[in-house]
Amino acid sequence: MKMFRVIYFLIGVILVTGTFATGEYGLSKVNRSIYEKACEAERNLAKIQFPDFHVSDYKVRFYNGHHDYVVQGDSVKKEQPVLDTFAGSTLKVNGEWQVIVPEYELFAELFNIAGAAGSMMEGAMAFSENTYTEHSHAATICHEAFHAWQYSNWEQEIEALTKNIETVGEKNRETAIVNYIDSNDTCVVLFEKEMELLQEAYQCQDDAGRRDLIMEALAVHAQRQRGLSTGLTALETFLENLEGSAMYVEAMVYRSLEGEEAFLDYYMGDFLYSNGSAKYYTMGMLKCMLLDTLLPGWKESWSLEETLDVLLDRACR
Amino acid sequence: MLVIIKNAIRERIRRREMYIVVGIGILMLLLCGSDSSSISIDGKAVTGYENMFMVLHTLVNALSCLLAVVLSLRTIPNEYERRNSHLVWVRGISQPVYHGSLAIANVVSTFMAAWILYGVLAVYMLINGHGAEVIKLFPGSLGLAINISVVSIFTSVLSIGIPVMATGVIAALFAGIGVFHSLLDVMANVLGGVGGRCLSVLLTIVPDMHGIQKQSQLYVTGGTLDVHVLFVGLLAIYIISIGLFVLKRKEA
Repeated sequence: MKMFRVIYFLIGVILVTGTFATGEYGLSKVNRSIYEKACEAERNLAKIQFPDFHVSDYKVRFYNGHHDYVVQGDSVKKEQPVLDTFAGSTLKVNGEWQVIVPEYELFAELFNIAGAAGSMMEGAMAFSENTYTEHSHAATICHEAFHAWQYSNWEQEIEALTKNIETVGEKNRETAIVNYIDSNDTCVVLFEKEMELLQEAYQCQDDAGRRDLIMEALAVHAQRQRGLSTGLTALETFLENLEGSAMYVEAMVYRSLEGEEAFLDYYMGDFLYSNGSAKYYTMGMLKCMLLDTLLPGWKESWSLEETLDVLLDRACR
Repeated sequence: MLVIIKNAIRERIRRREMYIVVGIGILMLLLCGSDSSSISIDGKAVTGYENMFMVLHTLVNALSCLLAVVLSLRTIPNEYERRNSHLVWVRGISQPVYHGSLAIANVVSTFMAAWILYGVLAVYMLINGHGAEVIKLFPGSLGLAINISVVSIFTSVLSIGIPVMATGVIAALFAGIGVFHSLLDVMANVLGGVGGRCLSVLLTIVPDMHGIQKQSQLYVTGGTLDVHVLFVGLLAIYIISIGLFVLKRKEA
């Protein structure tokens, strides 16, 4: 019995040592590698030429449900979470804009569960292991870092837009879109028409034909916005320009990391109108991509004083 | 000790619960593995071998954990009810050795039943032209063995001290938390507040059996293994086993 106790104790020592020796503490290697990939992709990407935009300029906070691991360059610090929520976002912390994302493992799992839940609602059992990749997470970091860049550079313009948006009288922007825009049949039809024309313009090989299609799309856009209040127009401008351009950065990073096929599949699939703000992200991204073909170097001097529509209009005249 | 284990395994094999769970398991595996199954990923039907293998492997793990609870639930209480324990005491065998032997019998019989389910998985691999990987199922089943041991020994330890019904509920909850560990981990983070914290505490206590199962699956399909998860599982078995030596039944 004494021998058994000694052996049992030794096994315990081996197991405790093994558990501690093989464990990963602090920010995981996967998240470190994702951060490095995001910085490297943005550095190597010729398409992203917004002046002085560098992901590495902003601290990235990886939230693990309990703490934030704040990463900048080689430094990683453990801090109290500033946003105790499971979302990708940009926030001003101690006077500087920072990126907040959940740790990849948690975010990917959330996406998988959401995907599974979505399919289950349609009556089928589902597992989704490969939906949200490490490259998707690197692209998300670039998306949020671009917001940090926008807020750092366009503070006054964003403030003016926000004041206009407040006149809608609805605290939740999603609710405002659903209640005042998505419920308006004319607005929906005109939005779909505009999107169709822009997609056609993107596919068009003929330069003159492309310009005509864009001008037509801009006319539809103007017609749609005439039916909306100043607040709602400001809300659309905000989403299309700020979120659309951030999605453009995200898509370009994703394209460079995951390849053309995955990019086309994920970002350039068939457009389906949906209630809420997501459609403005897609439209803004498409407008940025059209500007790449029509107005090279547009990013060097772009600011919110000139919206993407104004730039497109100038490029087509 | 070996005689006790051998007799206990024989008795487990005679019990109908084992065949019911294994039968249902085989049926489920066949349904899921058939071409006409309704499993989907993001609305698209899962037909790819790797995706289907993942689903079937997860199912085998969940069923094996359930089997571990069912087979280990009554072993020790039944021995005392039938007064078999007295036959052991007169031979001078101590309670820890007796309980330990019965717990080992529980683990072995569950593992044997789980291997029948693994056999269905092997057939699926052969049919889909992955016969060369079937051999990997043998070392790959180490993960399954860890999960079965955790659940089975936990159930055996509980059954020493508390009534069968309570043991069943707690053990099923324990196995459920372990099998759905990663999903619940996300939920705990999303929930926040007191509910989230309580769930976090439970997740700290119960080992990540989903993670352990995933290592087995990765071993078979070829991927980077996380040895830490396996060590945590082994450590959990070690800690739970202490209960077999510490807890004693009053009737003895």
